[in-house]
Amino acid sequence: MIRSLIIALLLSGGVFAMSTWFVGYPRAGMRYITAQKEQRRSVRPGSHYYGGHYGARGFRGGK
Amino acid sequence: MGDSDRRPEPLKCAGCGADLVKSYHTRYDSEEEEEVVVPLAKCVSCGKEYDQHTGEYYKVFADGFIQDKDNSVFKLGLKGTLGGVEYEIIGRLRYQDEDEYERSVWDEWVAISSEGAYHYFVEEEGEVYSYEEYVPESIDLEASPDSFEFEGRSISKRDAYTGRIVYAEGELPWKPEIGEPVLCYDFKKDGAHFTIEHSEDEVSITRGEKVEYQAIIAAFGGDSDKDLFAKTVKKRQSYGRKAAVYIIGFIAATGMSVFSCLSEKEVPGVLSESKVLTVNQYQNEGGATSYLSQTLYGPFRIGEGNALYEATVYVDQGVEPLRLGWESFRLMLIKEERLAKITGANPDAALLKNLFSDIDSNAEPVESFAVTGDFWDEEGQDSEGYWHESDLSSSSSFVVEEPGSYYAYLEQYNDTPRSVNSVKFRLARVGSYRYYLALMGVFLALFFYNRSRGRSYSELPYRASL
Repeated sequence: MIRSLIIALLLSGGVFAMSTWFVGYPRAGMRYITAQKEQRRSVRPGSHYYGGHYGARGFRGGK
Repeated sequence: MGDSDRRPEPLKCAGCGADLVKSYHTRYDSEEEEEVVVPLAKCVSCGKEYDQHTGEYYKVFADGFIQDKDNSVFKLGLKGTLGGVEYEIIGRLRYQDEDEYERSVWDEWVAISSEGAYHYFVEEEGEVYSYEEYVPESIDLEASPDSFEFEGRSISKRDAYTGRIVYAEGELPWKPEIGEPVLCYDFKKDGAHFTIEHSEDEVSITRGEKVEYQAIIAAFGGDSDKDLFAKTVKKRQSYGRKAAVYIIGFIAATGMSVFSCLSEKEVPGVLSESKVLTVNQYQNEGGATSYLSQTLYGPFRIGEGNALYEATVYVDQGVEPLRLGWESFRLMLIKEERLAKITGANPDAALLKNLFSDIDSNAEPVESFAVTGDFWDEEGQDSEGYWHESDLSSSSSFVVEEPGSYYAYLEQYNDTPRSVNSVKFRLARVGSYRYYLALMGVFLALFFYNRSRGRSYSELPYRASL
């Protein structure tokens, strides 16, 4: 039972920490800007970076 | 009765006298809705088949019903004291339920008490019932076609089942035959279990009660049985405590998840101010045509930094329904001071339009974040008939690192010209619950595993219901 308590506490603590610090979520701010800047360095000036925005995921969603 | 271990006699066909062998055939089971394999006894000469409603069937398949016959705390010759009465096990009958193709057996251990009376311990799936012969005040088995009368109470005959003797050993009150049918009625009356066994030439009535396995072990078990039983109980209790810990964890994770879901707080005024930069501008890229609209919303204030926000972009069907078409969007979150660095204070629409038309080629990104998505509405016909489906909303969660004043730039691409205001968005401070949902699943799985182990764990070499 002690082992199960420790497992439960570790799992809960880990999940609480991940939820509190938003682990795994994208971040809006300098982290995004820095990553975008790095990506754009490799893009030739004048080219369309996103290559069009519509239909990126495909529009067929029905049956 | 003398003889023990009555083995099946040589099996001969009642029709031609040739040998009987095991046979199987498949048939469609309408209840299971699939083909099932049905065992049959079959004559090697004339091909006559004997199903489970015949005595021959049980003689042919007897070995399949008795493989585990020694897996029991009861043994012939065993003596034990239960409820202050000493019993000696003198015989055993094993029955198979005639209605079942699969193995479905129970054992009737015949004991004789120190007072010289017959007693029966019925053992089935780890449970033990103690029965003694009973003489009812009144009984009429032919009271009606559907029921019989037992001490003034009507008992339905529809619950009757037939047991077939598949094994017998020891000193028994009568001479059983393998395959012999016994019609059984089990019912409860005044808290007691009653069984009426109706064979070809005899009716036997017994009354009994369930006996805790612990009492059976204490009465009939050896030292090894008692030791293994105690270990089993201890281990099951341990699993039970673990299951309790994990279900508490599940409840706590559920609580945290619900709390996170309910802690949503909308950012006010995100749509209060807007500048429409472009309305349905025709686009043609590689032969694909679309109509572009651009709008800048804000500024509005995001009050908390290092906090989780959710942007929900949706089609406002009240403004203009999206019907049999598609629409794509991009929403950018832009800090006011970063925009002001490029455009200065209070930029006009033309300047903003130029900026956003070429925003992707800026070496220094203006936006702090961007989300994209699609909306669609479709209909059609398939084998089930007409269908109509749509997806008119899209949500994304992200962490805003810094609080402050922000703009939101919304870009819409449509297959036909549409109202700029037909797409809206909302921004809300939300709690993170995705990991709590996963934790709920983990705790629930651990709970069910430990609860299952707590019910099934056994160190005993036979099945015992604790």
